[in-house]
Amino acid sequence: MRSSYVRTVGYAALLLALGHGTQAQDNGPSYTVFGTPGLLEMPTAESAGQGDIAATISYAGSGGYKTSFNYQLTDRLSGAFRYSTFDNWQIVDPANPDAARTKRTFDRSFDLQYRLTDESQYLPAIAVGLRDFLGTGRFGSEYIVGSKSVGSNLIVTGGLGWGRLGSRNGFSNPFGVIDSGFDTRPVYVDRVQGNEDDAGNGGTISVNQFFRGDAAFFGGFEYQLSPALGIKAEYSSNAYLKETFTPAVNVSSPLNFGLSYRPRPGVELNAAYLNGEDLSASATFLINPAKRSTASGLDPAPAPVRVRTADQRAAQTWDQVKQPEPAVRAGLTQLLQVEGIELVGLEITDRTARLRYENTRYRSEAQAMGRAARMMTQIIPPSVQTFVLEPMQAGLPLSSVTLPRRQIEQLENRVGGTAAIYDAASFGQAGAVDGLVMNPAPGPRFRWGIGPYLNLTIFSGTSALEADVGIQADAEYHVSRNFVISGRVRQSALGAQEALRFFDNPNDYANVRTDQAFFGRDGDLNLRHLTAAYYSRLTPEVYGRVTAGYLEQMYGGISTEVLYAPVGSRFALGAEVNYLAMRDQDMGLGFAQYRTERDPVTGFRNRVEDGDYTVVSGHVSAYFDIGKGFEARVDAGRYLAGDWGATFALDREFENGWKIGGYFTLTDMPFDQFGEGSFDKGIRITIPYDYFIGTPSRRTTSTTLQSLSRDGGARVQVQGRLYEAVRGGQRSELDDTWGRFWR
Amino acid sequence: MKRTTVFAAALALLTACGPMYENSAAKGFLAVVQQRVAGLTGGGGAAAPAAPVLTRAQVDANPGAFLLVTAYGGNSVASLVVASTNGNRVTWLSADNVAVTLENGIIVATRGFPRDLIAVDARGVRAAIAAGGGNAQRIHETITDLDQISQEVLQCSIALTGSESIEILGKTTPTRRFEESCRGERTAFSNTYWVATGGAIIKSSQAVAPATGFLVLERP
Repeated sequence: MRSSYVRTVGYAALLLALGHGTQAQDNGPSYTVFGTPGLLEMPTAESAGQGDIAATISYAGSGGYKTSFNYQLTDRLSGAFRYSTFDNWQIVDPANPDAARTKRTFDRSFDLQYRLTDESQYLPAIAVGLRDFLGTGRFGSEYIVGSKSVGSNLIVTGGLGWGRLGSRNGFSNPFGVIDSGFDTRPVYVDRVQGNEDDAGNGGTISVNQFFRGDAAFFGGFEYQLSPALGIKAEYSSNAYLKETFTPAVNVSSPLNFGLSYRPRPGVELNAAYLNGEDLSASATFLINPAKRSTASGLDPAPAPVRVRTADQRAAQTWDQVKQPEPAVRAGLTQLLQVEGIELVGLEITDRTARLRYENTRYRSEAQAMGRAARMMTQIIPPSVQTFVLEPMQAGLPLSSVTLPRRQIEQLENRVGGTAAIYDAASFGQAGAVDGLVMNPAPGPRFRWGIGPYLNLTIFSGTSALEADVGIQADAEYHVSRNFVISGRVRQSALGAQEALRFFDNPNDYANVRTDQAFFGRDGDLNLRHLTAAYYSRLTPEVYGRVTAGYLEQMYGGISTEVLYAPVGSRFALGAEVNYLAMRDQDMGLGFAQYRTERDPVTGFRNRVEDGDYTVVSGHVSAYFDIGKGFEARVDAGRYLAGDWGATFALDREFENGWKIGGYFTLTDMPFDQFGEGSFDKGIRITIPYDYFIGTPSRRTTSTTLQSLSRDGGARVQVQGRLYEAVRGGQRSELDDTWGRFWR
Repeated sequence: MKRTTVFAAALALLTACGPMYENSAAKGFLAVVQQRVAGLTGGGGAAAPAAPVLTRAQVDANPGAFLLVTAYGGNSVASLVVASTNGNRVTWLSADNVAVTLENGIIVATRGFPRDLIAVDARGVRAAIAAGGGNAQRIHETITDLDQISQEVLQCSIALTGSESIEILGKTTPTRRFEESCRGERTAFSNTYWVATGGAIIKSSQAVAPATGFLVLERP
């Protein structure tokens, strides 16, 4: 269908909104070896499509490997996280730089770019960016860049860079006119050389360097030969100077050339010749949460509404002889089973029927509610005019939604029916158990599963990827709806393995997380978790949880939590207190703490048992649904190592279940005790299964990319925390997926 | 071809078991891969229907009880029966849970396709057909990848394009053929209706949504 292609900067979104089937198509920016939109090593002012997540793997002869994730958070703002492996200069004697050696380095870095203006007929799009602003600054630079399309196939870019991007033919800083402080760039003090306590652990924002020191010009162009194939050329302003801890990249020319090949949407392959020295290859893969490959899903059709006749609607009372309660309840139980919905309790009066149910199939509680309501029309006595639906999860009633039966009959398959049924609904806190006739908890109460597992540890210290494969078994026993015993064991197929290659972390605290490198590596059966979890609604708006047992890989103990979450509120407040003991690293039933002793002769790390480690940890948590898909959360309290502090998190939550967010934790553990990275921070992604598999599922998979997993700001991982259990039935969540009510 | 089969078999061996692992991601991905492999090798899947989904004898035994739906460009044929009636809207359901709701023969909702029509207002189109042609407005509601309802207003022109005798399951019926051509902000399509003497639409080709395409509906 692609009849022509037009590359423009900044108004791709507008084109899409107006696009017809045969409209000119913008195939979006191509990506640099840094995994950000741009040329080869130089940025452009282009932004990716809003919501695009780009994963890039790149390699260059002396430049090493880079694995990057770029996320276009808003139309204008993008962020990137990068893990790089390359050789660093180690200048031992500053007087004699030629004697420098190189050393393999594993580096994490973060970028930000903000597009200030869009391209217009005569003016370029302009963007400002920070590259590697949060790490040890190996690539640390700032830039202002402009890009302009010329005709439909050419984009020309020019910019001004500082830091590493100001290191070739630099000139004195134009900002020096404003303040002479801009003229010199403060030297970054690395921790190895730094003498002050807090200096040089990396991970802090090097604000005092921003836009300081010499500036230099860079520029280049990208030309689309065809929709799939483009050529790129650029003049680089990074001279890769041989300085302390700078990347040891060979350079003999400022010019870089490359080809960008996009065989199909979402895939880009690049080949380039960089700095007159290196051949480079990279591949970029795009995914966008807002573009579901399975469209709106492959959910089987719901049972249609059964409409009452006028005579039936006129009935004032429930004919209990014709429709005795046990028969109605049994029938509805069976009908709901078809939809993967368990009938928990039912209350029928002449005019109202109240259904409490647990949805086990649909990600969207609104969709499950729409299906439950349609099933109710099949069998609930005709005199009943009002349906009250009370979704439940983990044995906790979440909310109550009241729907007029006549509206369900009239709005099915009607244009505007989704909005109209929402307007006709009223939302509130779930009612009391009194009045409900409860179904016995359903069988089978015991469930199990055996299957393979693949556990990937990415960016763990000094290696990009560690994989473990094997077989795992899960078992779950429901004592009641709100009391569950569950466990998981794993057997690695790889046998006994060496400890993961985490960084050594000498500090005065217990190695509450860095010891994870030694956990479950002996090749025997591992107990991943074995817990008893009890949930209860304490008041209509307050929920409680107690979980005891082997909570996670490294800790056992007891975890208690309360959560105040009114159905209609954007706020929720919670508190959690845990008493924890560190488990034995063999991941059996024992508890023990070990320390590492390095054999002075062989250098081997020996683990020596050294008493026990117990800690009381806990947090007060505030959750706030900001709206527009953003959710903020603050947790303040005591962390695993006994350090006190707070975690701040912001997540972009898509209505279809994707979540992409970032967090950071500041505690009273000093930065030099924390080690490299200074404090804990990371990016986390949650992906719903149904996005990929198409058929409905409530499962999700989550990954956290931490800049460095350390002992400060660490928390115990307890399954089934209250907020996640409860919020699906909250009004704001029902709103988000209400479009699925009639699906 | 052999290699893909071996690959699929190896994947199948890795499949998890037990009630907790139903609907696991591994199984979902496996199903997708197996479909792709089957598609590549031409084996398995939707090739050459061995037996018709519906016979003339079945239709004669229950006149008017069936709707034949052909989807995905002929790759899928199903026989649907009435599941419910709501006013003048009839919802037809297939054995594998695909539903099509018709109002006087025009699609007003679908369920079970990758992109469903949640609701349609096409009353003007039916009136234009009854009048022998004319202009009409359609409103389509679909569900987006982000679970939101998206509404599109389409302007349509309906014209009589000829007389045609069509055959459905061995029975030939004289019809008048109407073409409906529609254009909205995002989509454009043409539907075709074959209308029998009494005014009933006995065959039609109607657009649903981009990921779903056209459905051919026949009343044997």
